Amino acid sequence: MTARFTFTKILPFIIIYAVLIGAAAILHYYMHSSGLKWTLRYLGIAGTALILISFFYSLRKRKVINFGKAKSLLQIHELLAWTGSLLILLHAGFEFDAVIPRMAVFAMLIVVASGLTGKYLLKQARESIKEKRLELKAKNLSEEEIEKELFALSLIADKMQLWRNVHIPLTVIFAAFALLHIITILLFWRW
Amino acid sequence: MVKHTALISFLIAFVLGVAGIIVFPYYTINPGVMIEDHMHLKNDCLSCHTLGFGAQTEKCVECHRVSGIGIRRVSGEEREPANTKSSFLHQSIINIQCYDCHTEHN
Repeated sequence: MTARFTFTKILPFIIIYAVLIGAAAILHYYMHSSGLKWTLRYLGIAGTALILISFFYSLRKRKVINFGKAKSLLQIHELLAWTGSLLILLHAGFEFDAVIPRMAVFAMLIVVASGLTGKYLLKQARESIKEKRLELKAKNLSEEEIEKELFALSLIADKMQLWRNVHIPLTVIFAAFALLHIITILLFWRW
Repeated sequence: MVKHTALISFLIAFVLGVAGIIVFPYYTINPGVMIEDHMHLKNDCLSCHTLGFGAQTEKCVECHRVSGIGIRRVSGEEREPANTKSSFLHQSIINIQCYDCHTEHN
């Protein structure tokens, strides 16, 4: 059961995420070495703007602002933060020269992964548990046996439930390093 | 409570980052490998950069006198033979900034 969930849900999730990061890195490399190098800078700015707009949801959730429906703001948060992160990933590529912006990108990737865990993986784990429970009940297993069977997967679901404990602190780290990156660019770059 | 924790973590990360930039500027913010001839300046960003204005030509020509380019090295020693093409090229320059052609971080 746990193995099936790992192979059919968690593993594909990790592989797709890794492929996406790889594709962004390759596209970045291509753009960097072609005449499109100048556009990379604007992708960073656009991505940051989208992520900042997506924070309206976070403000609404914490009641700092009162307008907008929390549910639609959440959908906007997911869409804009995802698009913005992709743009920033393309902007950053896989360049390892400077540690500050690199740490910002790593933090961002963890934030996105934790967000996707909360949105998709956790939901799927809960559904799998529900389905399996019905299946086992149909087989006339006792409540105790069912719990025993589902123990490992419930443990995974419980751990996944903690995704916010990663999502929010890492967003804070991302914000600090991204801000430092922006400040140093403004200080050292010529516009 | 949550808000305070977030703010404090933000400030800690920010201050640590600033300290890192001050102590190890080349490792923390260098955008690309420095050309070899300028490697000795790698941690002295302000020897070329003016804060807010990038690498200004005025700072380059403090060491690389336009009249001497192709003829004399920065150390003062004569180039033998002189690179007359380079000398002529640089002396004919009007309204071009050094960074228009030269990139030091690659």
